[in-house]
Order: sequence, then structure tokens, then C-alpha cells
Amino acid sequence: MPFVNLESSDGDLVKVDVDVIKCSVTINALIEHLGLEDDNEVVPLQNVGTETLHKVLAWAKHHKDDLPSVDDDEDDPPRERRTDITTWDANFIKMEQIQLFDLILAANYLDISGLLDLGCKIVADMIKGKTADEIRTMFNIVNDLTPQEQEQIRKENEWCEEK
Amino acid sequence: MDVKLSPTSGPFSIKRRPHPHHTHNSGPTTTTTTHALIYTPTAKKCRFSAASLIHPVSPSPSDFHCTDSADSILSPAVDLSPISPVSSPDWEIPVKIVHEDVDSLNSEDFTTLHITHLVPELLTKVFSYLEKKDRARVAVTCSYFNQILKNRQIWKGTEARLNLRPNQGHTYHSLIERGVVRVQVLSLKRSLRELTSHIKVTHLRLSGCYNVTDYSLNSMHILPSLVELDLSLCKQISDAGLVHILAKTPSLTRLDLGGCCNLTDRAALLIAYGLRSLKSLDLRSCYNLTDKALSYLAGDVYLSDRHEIKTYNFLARVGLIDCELCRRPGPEKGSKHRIELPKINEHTEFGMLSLESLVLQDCQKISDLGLQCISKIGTLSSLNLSFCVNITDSGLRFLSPLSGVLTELNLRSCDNISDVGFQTLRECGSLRHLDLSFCEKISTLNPTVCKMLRTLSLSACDIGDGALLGLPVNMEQLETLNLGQCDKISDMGIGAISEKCPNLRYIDLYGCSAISTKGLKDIMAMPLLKNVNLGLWKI
Repeated sequence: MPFVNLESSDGDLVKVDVDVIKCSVTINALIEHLGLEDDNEVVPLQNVGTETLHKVLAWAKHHKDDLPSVDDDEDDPPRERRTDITTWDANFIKMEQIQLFDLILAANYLDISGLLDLGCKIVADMIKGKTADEIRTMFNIVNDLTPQEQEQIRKENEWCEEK
Repeated sequence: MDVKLSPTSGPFSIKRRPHPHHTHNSGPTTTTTTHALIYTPTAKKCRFSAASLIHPVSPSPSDFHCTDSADSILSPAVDLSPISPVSSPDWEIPVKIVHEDVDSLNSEDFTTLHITHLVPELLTKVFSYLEKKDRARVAVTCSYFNQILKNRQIWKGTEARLNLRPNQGHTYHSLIERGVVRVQVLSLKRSLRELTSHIKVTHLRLSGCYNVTDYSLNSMHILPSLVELDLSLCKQISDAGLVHILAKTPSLTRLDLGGCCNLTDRAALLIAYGLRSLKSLDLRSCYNLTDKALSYLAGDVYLSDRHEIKTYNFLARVGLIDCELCRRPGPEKGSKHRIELPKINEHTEFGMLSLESLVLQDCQKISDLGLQCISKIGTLSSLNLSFCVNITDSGLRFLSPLSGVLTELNLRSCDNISDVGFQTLRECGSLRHLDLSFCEKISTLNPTVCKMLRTLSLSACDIGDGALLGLPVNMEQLETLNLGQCDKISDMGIGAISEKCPNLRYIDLYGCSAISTKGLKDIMAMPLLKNVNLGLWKI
């Protein structure tokens, strides 16, 4: 049973090596529990479009032989949790914001932790070093805070600015 | 037949937040879309709902909510109660899903994927990758992000760096709300009382904070949560200050007193009395410490020592010893300001119960006798004796009782250690990391010791090709080898390393000027090598 057919939300069928998509906990669980023995089984993915599905598969294919990641010790300071993004991943993730968000949602839906981490790190990288105004502009965020509220929040977070 | 993978898990739903300005006036109405995946293979007559799969990013509401009930503002956004797929949300973000009424919606706001469409769990993940400073900036962009940023998950492990001043209530409130429990104090214009009474600090660093005194430690509120205390370079701390530490931090496991040069053997006695559960103790550059301090840590406190303790007035002041003896009134029993410790008498037990790491770097009064004491601390796995110039080869013999436990030994710049001492270490079968850098009397390498090591540092030792040729074949353990400034090593020695150490990952050849391109080629051809330091290498 080396293949499984995934159906994107656009209705396209994509035949995938089970070994490639095993990084998806969602699909993996499906296969394991239902024992898809027939190559003609179709798994519909209502939340993943064709374009995004192909991206997910490209990532999964490249990371097919990765060792299972060791669980992060969450008590460690975050900066120690952070790992470098490989060149391949950095090139792979170069895409429009909309596509990136779509990919993150797909990674979450399919439960692919490596891809989810990568996507979230990239969004974090986009935010780094920017002012509040720049962040609003970049993500098209409408400021719904009054100046008083902003001042209040700024004061609350004052301690974060200490180097 | 229904197949349920995880009956306890919540629905597998992707929920997208409405654009902030749409919720601003309409209040916190929950608007969610559920895309339950119903898998119905006709041939198998089994029905599978992916809704029963575990959601990857903690969908349990209890995980997500900040623990304070005051944070309930967030709850509309993370309402994860089971959602019927037939519920008709008043909006939808059908990115790839065709919505029948798509024309009736404002297409610009609803058909474009926006950062706020990432579910709160995902935004939490994104924000946890940010530095504190960036989080502060995200918080003022809009109310939604500000709420998300109060999730404690984001702040887990974050260390606040504070200048303690008057009127910092808003800061303490913010730290409590975010669950921040690691604090570094940069300066003290206010006592530690306010900080320690507001926040259940687990990690407190006062390193290098110039005006920390015994009195500052006295002002500390009792901190049952504190596991790590760093007082390195707080040079005014004396033995009396240590009394306050042991009376206020019952859970302490790591204590750094590096450079607290006023400390004497009495400090070690107090540690061996009141901080017996420490796992890590750093006493580097506490140069007044003698072998007696180490005997205390090992639990050897003789009657005369115990008698002497009774003359320490500072102990009486905090009620640790029988006050009548000192004819001073002690504080009330069961006082909230300190924990109860056993009275010191002839039956009181002393000594470290679980010490794993001990740093005695630069404690130059320590001699071989001290090592004999240390060997009684049967849990010790890491020992740093660098710059303890009075340690000799025969002292290392005393470490053999630690065989099976001791994995790391640092003897850097212990000038009196020679090949004989190196050979003695073969008794410590568990040793994996050994630093003998700048021990200029080291000129040969004991094969038995070398074979068990993973890390070996021999920088500036008297090592030449002969020593390397004498290495045993197949040193499979060795991953890191530091040979900086060993300028007698030539291509021949390097060839021996490349043949005998198949798993070498890092090699330091800083200033090894006798090596030519041929030797370099041998090194570069090693299969697992990741990092080579070739500083000062002449091409």
C-alpha cells in the first residue's frame, strides 16, 4: 500500500507516496486506523487547495528522511528553542503572505509539526525589528485601540524593552 | 461503524477570526466556520470523522486560556466547544471553499487571507518565536493581538530584566498576568521585597548587581518557588547573607556564588546544613575557601565545628541556633518570613545529598586533602578544579570512589598535574570530558583514559607527534579534540588522529604551526568532521 490519493478542496486528485506524507499526523492516523489497502482510496482534504497541497508535498518530500524531532523542552528560554532555518527551507518558504498563511493553516490541519514550525518562524521573522506602525502596514491590520489604550498597553509591556 | 481515534479530543475545526474592525462594535460574537472532514469510503462501509483527531496545537480551552479568569475577554475567540457543522455562521472565510453567497459579502475583506485568520493557537506559536521587544510592539497594533499576547504559553521561559525602582506595580501586574517567573535584576534602587512578594520567581539572577548586600537578601520574601539563584560577582555578600538564602529558598537546586570573595568556610558549612538538596553549586574565585569547606560539603562536621557554630551571632539572629546560648532574643517560631530549619546540635545532619556539579575554579587554597573530601559526595558528575594549582597527581587518586558517576573533570591550568595524574584517571571509568589545557607537564597520553573520552582538551600541553602516535587505535568515543597551541604536532601526528578517531566532529588546531597542507587534507577528509579551528595557520 505505498500510495494514497489526496483530494484537494479544488477537487483535484493527487497520488502521494505514503512514505512522503507520513509526516502528517492527520493522514497517517487515517491510514493506520482505516488500513487503506486499496490504491484507489481517496482522502478528501476540504481545507487544502491544490496549489497549497503541492507545496506541502514538496516540503514533505524533501524532509521525508528527517529524523523525528525531539520534543522541545518548553521550560527552556525561547531563544534556545529556536533552531536555524536551512537554506532549502528558506528558499521553499519564499512566497506571498496569503500563500504563507494558507500553508500554515494546511500544516496545522494536516498536523505536520516541522512545516508548521517553519511557517510560524517565518511570520515571526517578518515581524522582528519592526515598529507597531510597520507591523500594521505589513499585515494590513486596523488599529482599534484608542491612544489611551495604547499608552496603557505600552506601559504594561515597558519591561520588555529592557535590553 | 463509527471509527473514533480519540474520544477525548475536541472537534477538528479550523476557525477563522473575523477581521478585527468587524468585531469591534458588534461585541465578542463567536463567529466560526467548521469544516469537518467526513471520510466515507463506500466500499468499506465505515465512517470516519477526522473531527475526532487530535488538533495539533492544543485545542483544549484550559491549555489556551490564561489562568486568571480576568482573561475571559479572550474566550470568544477560543471557544472550542463542539460546533455543529450545520450551524450557519454570519461570516465565513472560504479561502478555497466556494461560498454560495460570495457576492453578498464584501469580497475584499473576506476572500483574502489575513494574518488574523490564523487561529489564536497559531498566532500564539508565531508570537512565541519573537523577542520580548517585538512582542511589546505587536501588542500595541490592535486589541486582538494584545489579548493573544497575554497567553502564558508565549512567555514561558522568558526572563524579565528589571531595574528595581519604586512604583513598578504595573510591571509586576504584567509579569503575573503573563506568568513570567524568571527575573534578572539589573539594578537595585528598591529592596527585593516588592518583587519577591508579588512574583513567584523561579530563577533569580542578581549577577554583577553592584549594591546587593546581605541586607538585600534579608529583604527577600520567602520564595518556595525559587530553584535557581545567581549571586555571582555580588562581592558584598558575606556568610551572614547565606543564612537568609537558606532561610528563604527551600527549593533551591542551583546556586551560583562565583566571585563572592568574602565568603569563608562558614558559607560552605551553612550550605551543607540548609541547602542540602542543591544539584549545582558554583564557588569559583571564592578564594578564602579551604579544604575544610569541602569537608563540610561532604558532611564531615565535627563536634568542635558544631560548637563553633553556636558562636555565630548571625545564626542566632535568624533563630537557627538555640538563642539561649547566645542570650539573644530570636524571632518567633513559625514566622512567615523564614522557613523552619532544624536546630544545630550534635545530631544535626550535614552534607550535600544530590550535588551533581561543583565549580571550585580558582579556589587556590584547595589541596589534595580537599579532593579526598569531595570524593565522598557520591552524586558528583561534574567537577571543575581549573586553576587550583595546589592539586597534584596524588590528589587525583582520591577521585576513584567517584568512578561510575564522575563524567566531567576540568583541570585546566592545574600546573602540578603531570602524566602520572593523567594515568591515575583511568580509575574513573565514567569520565567522558576531560580538560587538561595549559597543564604543561602533560606530554604523553594514557591509552585507557583516552579511549573512554568524548571530549579531550590538551591546548598548550607538551604534546607532540609521539604522544599522538601512541594513541590507541579506534578511539570511537572521541568527538571533540582541542590541540590549540601544540606547536610540536606535525602532519604525522595529524595523520594518526585521522586514522584513530573515526567519529571526530570538532578539532581545534589553533596555532599548530607545524602542520602543512598535507596534514590539513587528512583532517578535512574525516567523514563526520563539522568544525575545524585553524586560527594562526599559515598557508
